[in-house]
Amino acid sequence: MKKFGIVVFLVSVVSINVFAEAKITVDIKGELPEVSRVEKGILQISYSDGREAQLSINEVKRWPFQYDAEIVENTCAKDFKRQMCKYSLAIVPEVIGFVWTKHGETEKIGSMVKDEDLDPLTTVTNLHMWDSKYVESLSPVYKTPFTKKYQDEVGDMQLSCLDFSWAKPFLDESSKFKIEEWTSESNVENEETGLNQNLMVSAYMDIESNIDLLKNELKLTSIGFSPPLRERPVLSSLLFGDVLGWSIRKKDNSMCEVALKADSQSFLGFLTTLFSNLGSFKFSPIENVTDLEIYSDDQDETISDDDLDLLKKGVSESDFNKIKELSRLKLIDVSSSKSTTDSGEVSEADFTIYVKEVN
Amino acid sequence: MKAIISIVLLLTSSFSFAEETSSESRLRKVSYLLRGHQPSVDENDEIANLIDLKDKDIFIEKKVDDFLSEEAFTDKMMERLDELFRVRIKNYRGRNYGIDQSKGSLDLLFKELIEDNGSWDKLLTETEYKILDTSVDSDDFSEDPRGLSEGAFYAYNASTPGFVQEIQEYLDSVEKEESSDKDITPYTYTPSTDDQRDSLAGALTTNRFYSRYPTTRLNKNRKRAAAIFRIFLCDSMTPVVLSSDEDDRDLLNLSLGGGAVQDHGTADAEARHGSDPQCNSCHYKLDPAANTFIGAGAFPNKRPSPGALVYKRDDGSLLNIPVNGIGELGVAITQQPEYLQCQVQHFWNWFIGSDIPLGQQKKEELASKFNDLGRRPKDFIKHLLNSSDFISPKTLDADDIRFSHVKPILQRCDSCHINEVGAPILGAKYPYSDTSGFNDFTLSMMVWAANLKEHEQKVYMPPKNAGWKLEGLDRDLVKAWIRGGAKDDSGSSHIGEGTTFAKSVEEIPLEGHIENLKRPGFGYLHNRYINNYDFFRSLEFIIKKVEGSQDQAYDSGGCYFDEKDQSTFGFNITATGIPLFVKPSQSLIDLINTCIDDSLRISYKTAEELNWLLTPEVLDRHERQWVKDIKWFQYSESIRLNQIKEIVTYLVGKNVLSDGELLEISLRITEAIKPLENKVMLDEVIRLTFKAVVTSPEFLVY
Repeated sequence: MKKFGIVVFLVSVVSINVFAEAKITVDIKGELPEVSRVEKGILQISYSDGREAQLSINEVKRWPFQYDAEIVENTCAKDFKRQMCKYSLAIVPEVIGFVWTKHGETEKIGSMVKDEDLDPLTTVTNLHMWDSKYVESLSPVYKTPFTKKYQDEVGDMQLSCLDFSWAKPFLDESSKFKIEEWTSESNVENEETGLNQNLMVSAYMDIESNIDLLKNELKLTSIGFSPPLRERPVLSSLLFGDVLGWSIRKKDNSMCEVALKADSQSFLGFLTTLFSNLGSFKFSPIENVTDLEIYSDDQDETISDDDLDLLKKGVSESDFNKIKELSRLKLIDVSSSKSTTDSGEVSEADFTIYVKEVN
Repeated sequence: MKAIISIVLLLTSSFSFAEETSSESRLRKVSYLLRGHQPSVDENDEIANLIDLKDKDIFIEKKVDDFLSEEAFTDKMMERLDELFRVRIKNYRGRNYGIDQSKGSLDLLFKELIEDNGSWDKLLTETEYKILDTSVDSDDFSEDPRGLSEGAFYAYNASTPGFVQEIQEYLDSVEKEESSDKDITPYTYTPSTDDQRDSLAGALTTNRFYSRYPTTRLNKNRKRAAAIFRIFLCDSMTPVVLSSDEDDRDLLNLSLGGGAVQDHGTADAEARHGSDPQCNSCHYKLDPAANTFIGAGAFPNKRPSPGALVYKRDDGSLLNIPVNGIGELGVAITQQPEYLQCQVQHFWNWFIGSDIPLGQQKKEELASKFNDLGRRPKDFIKHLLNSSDFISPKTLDADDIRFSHVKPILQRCDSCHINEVGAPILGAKYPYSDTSGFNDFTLSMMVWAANLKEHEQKVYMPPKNAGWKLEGLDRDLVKAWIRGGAKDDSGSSHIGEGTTFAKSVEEIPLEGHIENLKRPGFGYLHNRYINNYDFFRSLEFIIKKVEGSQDQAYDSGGCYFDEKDQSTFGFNITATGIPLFVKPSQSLIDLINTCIDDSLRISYKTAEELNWLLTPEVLDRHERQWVKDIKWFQYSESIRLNQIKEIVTYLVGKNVLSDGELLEISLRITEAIKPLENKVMLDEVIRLTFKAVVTSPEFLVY
């Protein structure tokens, strides 16, 4: 059996971003389900033994978190001293997957359809975090899909420090503080040299914030530019990385820099806790599933003859066509694998649908 | 059979000496320098058929023009530029992973500069970029951790809505019109404002340069600034060790591009770093240049960052030109005489030889000529190839040994030591210190570590696992250089007068190899080994001829190798831009043998099909037979020898070897095949001869 779940899990862990992409892995135990649209446009899969599952989404819940960061260098300050700060942020996880509505084992009703061999997170997981709030303005050069409905939930990103007085010369009348470049660094392999090196793994430009000098608090208000990254999952958050850096332009046009060492371990620990709780979320079916389209990583990918043959063994051609012909649901990729018995019968198959929310 | 191959290789590894350099040898050399492969059989025949030496000279002159306009010349120069910038060179026979160098804006800049014979300054001043790649959203995590496609790299500088889509739409449209991927005309990004242009500077603001020289908040773009000084001003800077504690050592290593930064980013450390005289000897010039990259850590900004071009000139005066942005920095560099002289030195190294000293006066003359020629590479290369330095190189006595003569040898030491804090970089700049005591110390360590006095002691350097040995002429050259006072290229000794070390150098014994410098010959001055890229090109050239078709690929499995094996085979090491091995490594020779076994498909060719390779005596009565069915030992000894000579001549080129040299290598091969007796057929003899020749100095040196 292909370990799609592993792929999905990895994507989930690092996909702390605003992209509402989804992957669904359904273990169909030797047969493909019949895919149909039921009341309110809900996408349902039905098995010959009577089991049914519906495409569902979790109840929206805000997960707030704070973690430490230390300003370790500041060429913008005249007399620099190290100082501790605290990031405040929130994550709103979004989990999409098929949830059992009919099942012989009643305790499974309400839980996600999953591959028994794999992690429960063989589903869609998007973590909307505070970056999401600014996404609309993130990329003027590349259209970035974004789910606006979480904007209010994720709230603002705040940075509280012991002393922000050094920033005073950089503030305008409305306490606006501009960071021209915000980068984060991680130790990763440099393809050009083949060596593991500290590299800038992300950069956001023209960041605007407000600094409340009385509260020593910085609140982000907008991000001007985020590049369309080749490796989106790894590089998508302002907060990922061992060292975060700001480049700030002085009034005389020269530049100064601030470096913050973030407690990334604590952040990752928080994410791990969050992931371990995803399975216990409450789900409800997604109505009018026409808002979803199935996509593939490779738009040119076609189903191989082997896959087609395999599918035909588990499902009638008309059922298979039904999957493809669902209104506005374009099936581009069906991945399958099989374990064959001595007599050559197919005993297992995986069925993977890639889903992308576009609105 | 393997044993026999070994015998062949062993026998061919001995040297023979040229009596004089022929015109044909010069054509071969010109072809290798300009195209990276040998002349064609037709070109060889053509020059060999000319009787008059003047006609041969005219022929070579014409061929230089022809070669300069070939695609192979562009490829060869791009390899040199990749080597100079120390970015990964496109793997000729290996499999490439991740980065597709041919799609990089850096490579497209190199390509256009060479093809159009543009001003060399464009490496620093170009602000228009060619873009072929906009791919995003790859799910393959290992594909390219740089994160940005070539198009996205300029998106912020452009700040045009839909910039990347616009490029992709353009590329999609040209792809439909143009037949092959290779022919696609790249998208040209042209910045529209002065600020945008001032934030761009040729090769310095390309995705690959940024990836090769990454920055961190502690490094503060110094690695990038150091690369600029090395490439454009020939000023190599390396980390130094402070006299204080381990923390400083780590800090310096990190700040100048060593390992990872985790807990070292302290302002205190930065302040110490900035005030220490040893650090400051580099940082006074590095930091102002590095400042032009602030705010442009991951990709070019759209607003320039101020900085300055600062350095001390040879006369002690301080150059300090404030600039507003990397663009102005690039322009300022091109206006300096040091830049011109440095670029001339690169061309000299490439076409005359880095082992030939280029004195200051000559360097200035050439810099002036380079300028007069519009700083155009093809014109200047032509000038160099027509100069007496190339056509009639001087021979040397032991006393004439200068730093440049030993520099290529010492650079091999740097391949391992370059990132080692505290180790002097031996092959970059000489003297190693302005203080003669430190210079003596470095040299004495070299004498001791390599046991140049031939005492009964362990040889520490190069270590046994280094993959190369300091032996033969190389060893004698280093010895003679130190014995002669370790002179720089102007002839000034840098060993302290009357010191203990100065007295002790007389104990360094020479082994007689140095005498070979007085005669031109294989493997010595003015002659160099074919590099690995050239080697595979040459092999392809040969095998395609055997296959009888230019279109037929020879690339069977045995000729490929994984990229990770490149340094084992002797390809350039990214850290230094030079290979570890001077000659092909044993691993590469093994690969070559497999490659020839797999690729030289001659067994089912008839003798007639190979008539261009076989002598009339061998062809006689056997035209219709497959060469695998023709017994080798049915021929007389003289026919066998002549046939071997014919194959050697085909591989090395007509008149490239003297009669004596041709006879010597042919006899070596004939003798090696002898033990095979009646079992061996003609196809195997051809294959063995190919293997023996292409791994011999006669083939590998030009």
